[in-house]
Amino acid sequence: MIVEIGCIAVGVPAGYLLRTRPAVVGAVDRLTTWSIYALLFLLGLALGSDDALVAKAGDIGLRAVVISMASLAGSVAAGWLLQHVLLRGALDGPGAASPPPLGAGTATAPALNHAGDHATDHSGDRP
Amino acid sequence: MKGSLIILGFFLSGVLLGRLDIIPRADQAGDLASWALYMLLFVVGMGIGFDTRSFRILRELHVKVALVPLFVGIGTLGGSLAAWALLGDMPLRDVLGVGAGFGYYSLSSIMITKMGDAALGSMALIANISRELVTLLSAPLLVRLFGGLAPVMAGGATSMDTSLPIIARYAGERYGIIAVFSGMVLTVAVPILVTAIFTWM
Repeated sequence: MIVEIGCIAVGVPAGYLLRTRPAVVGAVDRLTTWSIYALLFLLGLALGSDDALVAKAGDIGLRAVVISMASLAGSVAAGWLLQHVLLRGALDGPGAASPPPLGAGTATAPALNHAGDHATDHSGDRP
Repeated sequence: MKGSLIILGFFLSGVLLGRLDIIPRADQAGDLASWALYMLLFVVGMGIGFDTRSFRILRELHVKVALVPLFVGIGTLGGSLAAWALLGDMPLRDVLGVGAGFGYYSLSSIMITKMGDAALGSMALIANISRELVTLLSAPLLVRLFGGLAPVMAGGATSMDTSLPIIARYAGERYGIIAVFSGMVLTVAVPILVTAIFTWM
């Protein structure tokens, strides 16, 4: 599957070189969104037109949930180990990590905007 | 959230149209899907190249922050192994591939469809969407129980965008920055890991 990695490997430097051109950035965002729509539509089509697969839909969903919840729990456990055992709070930094009040204002991508040159705001728009 | 629902809508309308047999010979779409995937991977690569935040974050924060995405990977691997043992009858390769999406459901499900099959691709879609959804819903609880790093770990690749606002709000600004870094590293790792798992296992 060298082709798949190759496509990304060629894309990254191309994106880096063209990152200051809004027209390119906009086109890439739209192209990404619509190719994802198209490919997932095709995936749905392949699933829906296959009677054997439709019969197994409940089983597929159940397995999906088992895998994702186990992965999530494993990651949280690994994070706890990292933070409390290996680093002993080193990620909190000086003067950080007081528990935030539950009604705190909406914060998005804090403190990242000051430094400037990222061309797009990807929040809420995963490619 | 809205983006996930639109994507789910496209997937479900595909399922519906497939059920209705309106579009004959859906298997003809395979070749088209291959080229669409290559193009998608290329533009995903470009999107990564556009975004230079991660290098800056690594400079500004302690280098130990690089351990965060590594431990998401280790924890996901451990969790997937547990799921594999629990499910009992699935090939290890398939379980690890589904887990290695780290919540990046669009790309992982599309790649797994191509390298595995439609059943596994659909499983990856549901698994990774639910990882994102549960992260969004449980972030406040995770912070209270396990500390600020927990929602970053749970979010995986989604912690750089869809689950970033809720992480920044409940875990604080500093964890928001760690979340962006970890999410970006994992976003790059998803296509590489999925390809590696399906090529060599």
